[in-house]
Amino acid sequence: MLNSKIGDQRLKIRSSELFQQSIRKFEDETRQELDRLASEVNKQLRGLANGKTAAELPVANILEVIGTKAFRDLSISLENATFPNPGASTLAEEDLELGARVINEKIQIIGHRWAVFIHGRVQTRVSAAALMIEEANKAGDSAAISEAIKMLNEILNDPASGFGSHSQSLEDEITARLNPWEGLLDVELAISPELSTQKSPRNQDIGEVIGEAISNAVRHGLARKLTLNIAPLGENNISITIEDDATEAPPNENIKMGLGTKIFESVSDGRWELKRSNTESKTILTVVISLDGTAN
Amino acid sequence: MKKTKVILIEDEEFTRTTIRTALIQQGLDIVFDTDRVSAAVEFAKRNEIDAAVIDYNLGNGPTGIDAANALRKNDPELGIVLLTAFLNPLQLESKMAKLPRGSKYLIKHSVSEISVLVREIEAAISAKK
Repeated sequence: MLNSKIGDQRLKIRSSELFQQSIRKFEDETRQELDRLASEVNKQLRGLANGKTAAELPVANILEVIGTKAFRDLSISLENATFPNPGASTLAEEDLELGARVINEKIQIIGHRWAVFIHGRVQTRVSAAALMIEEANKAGDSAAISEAIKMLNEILNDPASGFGSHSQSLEDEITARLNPWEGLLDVELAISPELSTQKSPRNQDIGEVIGEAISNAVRHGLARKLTLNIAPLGENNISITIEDDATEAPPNENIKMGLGTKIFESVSDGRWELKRSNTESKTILTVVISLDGTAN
Repeated sequence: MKKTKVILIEDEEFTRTTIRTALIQQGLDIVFDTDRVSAAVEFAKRNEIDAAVIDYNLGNGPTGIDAANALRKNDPELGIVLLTAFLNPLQLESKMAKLPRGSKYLIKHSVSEISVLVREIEAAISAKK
């Protein structure tokens, strides 16, 4: 799979105006939809609150109207996002089919990022605020009600706040991915000094590859130990090698491509490989990532 | 009467505080709350607990199901309730690991009445006895 010809073709597509425009359009539309929902919910909240004290707010209605449903539905639709075939475009004819696939892979990855963000930051806080209002109502705690309303306003006035802000060094990005696994998995990290401090727009992509590789190793391979090696490869590439002690072999390639595979495929421009040792209980993942192009 | 000892894993601070406060008001003993799976597993190894309430989405890293499996491995009698905002966690992740046997699964918007969560905690503990 470490095919440099396909890699070059995919890299060309990823650098194309069509790809950039498609991703921007998807991002803009998602942001607008999230803002629209939040604004609608805020309007209904004000409507409910109209003429009532905070303690009189009908929490069940808030939950139903504001809640969770609208944001949950948006998250689910983002998880299943696809992008129409680009059709007439600036891509050469021989690149059209691959182009549509590359764009769709990226849309699905970004859709997943948004879905997780909306679920983890927006929907969860809205649910918690509603719970807080309900419990505070029972206890007659007006300060807690005000705090919950304040939280709702913060979220609903700027629901996308914090999404996509990413400017940390590669070492910090990787550390942030590894730390949550502490205690569940032993990780030995080797990263070239010249790469560790770099703040490439691709760091988030690299972090996602590592996060996905670790999840797969633990969940499906039942690994307990993992070594991670990150080194430069040529002028503009880096090589990530992840070796684990998985007792279970990875699924074969005939299984439907999951999000993890799409992440490897998209981020590496198709240059990745997963090997199972014939002699030891060991799986080795190699991913080559170009530092050229944009974060997408 | 002995209070039910519960640990809470939730990465979103406001939500964690809200659930903790509500459960305490319901008479449960929240012996530990954290945003980190490793901290919860360490605590569970050193202390006696009856149940764990775990958010499914814990940000980058292990999911609530990974946390549930790690805790159950340490204590086969532990009651587990997984919270999620999704109707079906499969919609969040296609290759999800399995929840430990006897675990309960609760949609967040149905927690508006905290008593629903308390009932699920009790049911999760009973399922393991």
